[in-house]
Amino acid sequence: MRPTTVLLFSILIAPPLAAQAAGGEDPTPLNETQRIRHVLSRFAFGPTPGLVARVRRQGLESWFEEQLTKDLQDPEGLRRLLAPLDALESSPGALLQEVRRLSRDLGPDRSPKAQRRLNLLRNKARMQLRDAVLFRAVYGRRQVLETMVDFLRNHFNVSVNKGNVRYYAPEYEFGVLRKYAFGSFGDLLERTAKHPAMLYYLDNYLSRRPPSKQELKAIARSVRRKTGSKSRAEEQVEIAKQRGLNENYARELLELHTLGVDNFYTQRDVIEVAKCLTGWTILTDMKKGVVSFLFRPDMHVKGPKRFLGRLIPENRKNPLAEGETVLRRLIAHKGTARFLAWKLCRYFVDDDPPDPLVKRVAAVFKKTKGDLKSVLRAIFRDPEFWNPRHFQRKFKRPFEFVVSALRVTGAEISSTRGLHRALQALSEPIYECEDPTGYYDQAEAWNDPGVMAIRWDFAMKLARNKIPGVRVPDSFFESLHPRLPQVWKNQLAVRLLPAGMGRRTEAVLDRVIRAHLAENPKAKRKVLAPLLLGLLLGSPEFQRQ
Amino acid sequence: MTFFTMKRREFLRLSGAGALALGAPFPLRHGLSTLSRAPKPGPILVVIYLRGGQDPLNVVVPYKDENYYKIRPTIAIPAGKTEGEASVLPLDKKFGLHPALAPLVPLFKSKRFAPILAVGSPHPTRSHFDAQDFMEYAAPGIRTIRQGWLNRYLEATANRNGKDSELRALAFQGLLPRSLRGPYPVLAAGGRSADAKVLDLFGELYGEGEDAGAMGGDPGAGGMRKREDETDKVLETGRATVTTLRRLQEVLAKAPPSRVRYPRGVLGSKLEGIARVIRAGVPLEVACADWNGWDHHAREGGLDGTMNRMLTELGGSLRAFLEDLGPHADRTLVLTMTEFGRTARENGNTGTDHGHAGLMLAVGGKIKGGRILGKWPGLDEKSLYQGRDLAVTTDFRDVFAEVLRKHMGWRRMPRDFFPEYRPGRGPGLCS
Repeated sequence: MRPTTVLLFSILIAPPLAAQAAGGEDPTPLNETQRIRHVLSRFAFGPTPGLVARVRRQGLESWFEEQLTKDLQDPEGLRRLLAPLDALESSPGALLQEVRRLSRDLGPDRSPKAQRRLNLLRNKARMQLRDAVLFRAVYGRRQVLETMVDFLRNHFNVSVNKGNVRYYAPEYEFGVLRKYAFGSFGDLLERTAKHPAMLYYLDNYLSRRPPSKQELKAIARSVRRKTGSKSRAEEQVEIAKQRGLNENYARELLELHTLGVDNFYTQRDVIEVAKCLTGWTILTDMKKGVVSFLFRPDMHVKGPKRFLGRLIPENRKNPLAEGETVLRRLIAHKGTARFLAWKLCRYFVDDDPPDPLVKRVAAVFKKTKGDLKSVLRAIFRDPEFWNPRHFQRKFKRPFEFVVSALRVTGAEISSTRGLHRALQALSEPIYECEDPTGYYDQAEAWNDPGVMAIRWDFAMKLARNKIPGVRVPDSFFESLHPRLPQVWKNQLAVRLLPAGMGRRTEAVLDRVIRAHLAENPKAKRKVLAPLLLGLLLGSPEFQRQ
Repeated sequence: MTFFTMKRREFLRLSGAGALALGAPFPLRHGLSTLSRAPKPGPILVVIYLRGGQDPLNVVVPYKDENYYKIRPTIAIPAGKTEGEASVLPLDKKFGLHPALAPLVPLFKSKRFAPILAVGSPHPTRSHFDAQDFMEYAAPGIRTIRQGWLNRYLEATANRNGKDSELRALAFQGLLPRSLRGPYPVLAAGGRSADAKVLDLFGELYGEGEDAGAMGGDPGAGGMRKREDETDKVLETGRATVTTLRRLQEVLAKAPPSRVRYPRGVLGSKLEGIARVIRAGVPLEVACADWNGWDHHAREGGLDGTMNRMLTELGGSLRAFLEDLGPHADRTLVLTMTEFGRTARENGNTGTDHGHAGLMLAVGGKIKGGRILGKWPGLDEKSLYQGRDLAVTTDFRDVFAEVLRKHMGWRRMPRDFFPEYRPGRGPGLCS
């Protein structure tokens, strides 16, 4: 028998995997193919055509290690897609400056056309950013990196819908999250804390000590000199008196970025951390086109602080160091190791990760001082990760669903509009999570009745090339058997569903094929195959990873 | 195509003729016959959740309180001393509305609107996410409860008046608020959705109408056991999606679009959808609408600023909704709520930080409105919670309990419906 015939034969007679293994008390360990598919489901956004075979040839361990250590080149197609995204090369300062300049040049009484031009520029960076995130997730070869950045994007969430974050987010994504995703957690924490995107998103750039009596007097004098009005001066003093601490970032730093809610800290600690971080603000110099981190000693709250029961003495020479001390203590805290380990295991292993696994991963986090590569290796090597009960059990988030569907079909993207619209309809538009929590990664948050219909709609449209700007290439269908629709069903299932087709799904597909053949005895691949593909993309099996 | 724009003609094409077309080889299970079922006009509860922590003091303003003006020098709402300037709209001798809420004044006069002051949680958390969870599960501090309070209500009163309609509860948004999450199936209808043909196909694929697990289920590694399939969330969600969406499409194809103009924005379109379902005569009981973005750490402002804009939309949408409901307004209660209030003092960024007691606004045809409800705790240093926030005088569960018992007519609400809760006095909203 020629190899193709063997393959065909095995597809035709192979019973569904469920039937092979059903009923056993001890689930059989994953076989080689299942192990590869498991890793590609969790440490990647699913397979692309041919990827499973390539990983098998290379060896799974070697593939994973290469993913962590090698700076793999972007494929040609991806580079072509990324090339036009010029705004992503610009710094936050340059982006903001460009918009301010155009706004000034257009003047206050601008025509609707001019306004549209300005709006286009205002949205340019955020639109290119979401495109780049999508393109990289779908076509990037460094898939472990892509999943890790996906995790971090939600862990250190910022939203481009808040004020100037849209101009700061590209550098945040590429210069912080992506750059340090395989570095140490401490680097990430400090660099997010000092990045204009985070300083703005969680308001820390505004947080300061209340003004002193002398300062209030100076304000009064200067206003009186300028306006000659005593009441105006008093008003300005009243306004200035109210300036003060903003707790927003300090709270989320403890609750979401490090310790986890109410673990080890109290409201007092939130206030003390906020005090330590006063003066961490944004430098906006539009002459030079610079937006960057700035420490302003005049905004800093003086005096000693206490954090988690320990003193942070006043540092008069270098008050910036007080905030850095807070971050260092948080990085070394066992609560941070535990919280990050738990969250990473939730993302890569299971919605409710077993305690012993979390403990083991937390120990590695602690020992390596938050070296994320070591932590990822620890998860990958842990026997619990390979436990068959996790295989194809994790519900895909909308982003994971869309990206994995595009990858598995080898879809070509010429315009991203329809895809972003789909993500919006599925409630997970890129970089637009308003809550500092980021998008949740547990099933509970995503499987409300009703949302499935939007997934089905997407599945059918993708399969039938009805999403504007997206095409499943002809080659995807051309590799199906030239005549036998019964074979298509199995060929497609092998590609799409790591755990195989369930009996119900198979029965429904059989009925669809029979009904179709009854009407059109000469079934055309062009019509029936996309329908089968759409059904499989929308099937319960494909919603899991 | 959205549900709201789908015309009857299109619906018939999709559901009837469409079934014969290629790709939908299965007959429709649910015909139009279900439409003839006579609607049973019962009470309706609409919950609007203002996420982020709405600032209560700039919504219902204590305009006679000197402390208010002292601690809010830049964002206070002026009490109307200057002629021609926008100012507080007095409701009584102590409290008035932010001028952006002008559409609610006539409703107050006709006793169809009442604010409930200083409502909140006994739990001190100032975390959005905890506070929302605790409130939407109506279980402050109890992390083991993961079923929304409205879902618990729906489940506990299932089939109370004969067989339940598929649309007892819904939200016109991509995801359900936590208050509606849980085992009782509730529809989350995002804007766009699959057409009837697609629903038929996927109904089969997710085992609609089948006994759960009858097919032996779909496999996981090592085989899924039958009992696991029975509780499989993905399948369950898929089935619920098909039945409820089918029903919704039938209903909306029948209801005429609204003649009332809603303000543009997040809330208006959701309320418009809810009104349309109600006007179609569906025995809807509970509907929810989320509105994110009330976390005004900066630029909250007083007469201008972000909150002014949002309150304009809120007031206009509530008013439009009540009008749109027509006679159905009499059996409807709309309740706005938020996870916590904000610091009594402004923070110097013309904003406020996370605080304690919040505020609820109640609108409805038959409520005991035209009064300020809830006890006012005061704004002087001594009265403030932890010296900084408005204190809670009404436990939010007191409001929930009164609404379920009196408005929804659930007289037999069990004592332990809200866990670890000692019943207090309700606000006196419903007779």
